[in-house]
Amino acid sequence: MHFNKKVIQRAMPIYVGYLFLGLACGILGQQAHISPMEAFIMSILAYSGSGQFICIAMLMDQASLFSILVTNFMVSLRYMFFSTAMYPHIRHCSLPYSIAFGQNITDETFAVNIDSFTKDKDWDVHQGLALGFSPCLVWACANFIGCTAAAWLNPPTELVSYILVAMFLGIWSNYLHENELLVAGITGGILSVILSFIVPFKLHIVLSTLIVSAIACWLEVRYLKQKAG
Amino acid sequence: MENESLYIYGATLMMVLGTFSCRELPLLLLRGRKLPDWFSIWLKYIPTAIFGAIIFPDIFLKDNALNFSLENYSLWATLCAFPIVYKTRSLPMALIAGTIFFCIFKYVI
Repeated sequence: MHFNKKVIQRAMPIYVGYLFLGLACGILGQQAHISPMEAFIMSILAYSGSGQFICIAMLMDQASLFSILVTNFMVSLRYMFFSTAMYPHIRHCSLPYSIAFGQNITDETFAVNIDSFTKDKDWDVHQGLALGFSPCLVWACANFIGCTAAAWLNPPTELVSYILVAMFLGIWSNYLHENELLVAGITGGILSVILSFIVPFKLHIVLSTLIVSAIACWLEVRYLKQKAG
Repeated sequence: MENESLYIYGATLMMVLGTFSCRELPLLLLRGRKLPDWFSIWLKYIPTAIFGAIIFPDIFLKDNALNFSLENYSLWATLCAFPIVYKTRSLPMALIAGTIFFCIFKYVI
């Protein structure tokens, strides 16, 4: 790992973003009875922004560990694409190094890293790993601080739970750039409400996501085939 | 260790399994081979379906029952904030608009 000035310059926007999101995540986590140390450990090991927010919402709901696992797996599927795209740049690395590199891929570190690999011929995996890992420390420390501060501030629980919903609304809106996506989201939501009366262990989130995304995918593949044929 | 802590560490372990497998599988098994086309189409619909599936029960249900009364502040705050959030597609805006509307419904109306 090679941590230098160039890495800091490129990662600066990520540091700032993760600082504020991390503080928010820590505050929300405290409401789900996560201790500062647990928040820190979770942030280092999982290192997943939306994944952690979703996990906190599910912890507040007393969801089963299985449904936390499956939901988190599905939100993380996008990392498969990032890792695939990153592979040519790290194929020469040893196995432990590749694993370390992969573990530090997030939406933001991937975007900056892939841009640096393409445009800067002096950019290498050592700087790339530093660029992936240093925001993780910022994220984890911000989580720790947010969680510690929330215990002192003692914010109103009802409002804080709502802020988590508002947060999801904001993240959701970023995925609504096509009408089909809005329809899929609303359908997923309605199905989830219906399923929540029927299925146990809070599996309604996972089930409705799987059903709706599979149907939408099937429809789009069929449509593309019809158009081509 | 108390139960709550065990539950949180269990959840952390699940998170690690979920994120780790997605990050490492392409590097270890696929060795950079291309993912199938249907996979990217499927992937496009997952985030929107997941967030819909999380948000709707949170706002429409209160104590495990549908609740459309004015007492359900989350629902009305979200319905008022949604047009703004949808138009701006901004996370800070969602937090600001959501919080303001929630406070209006809870403390003013």
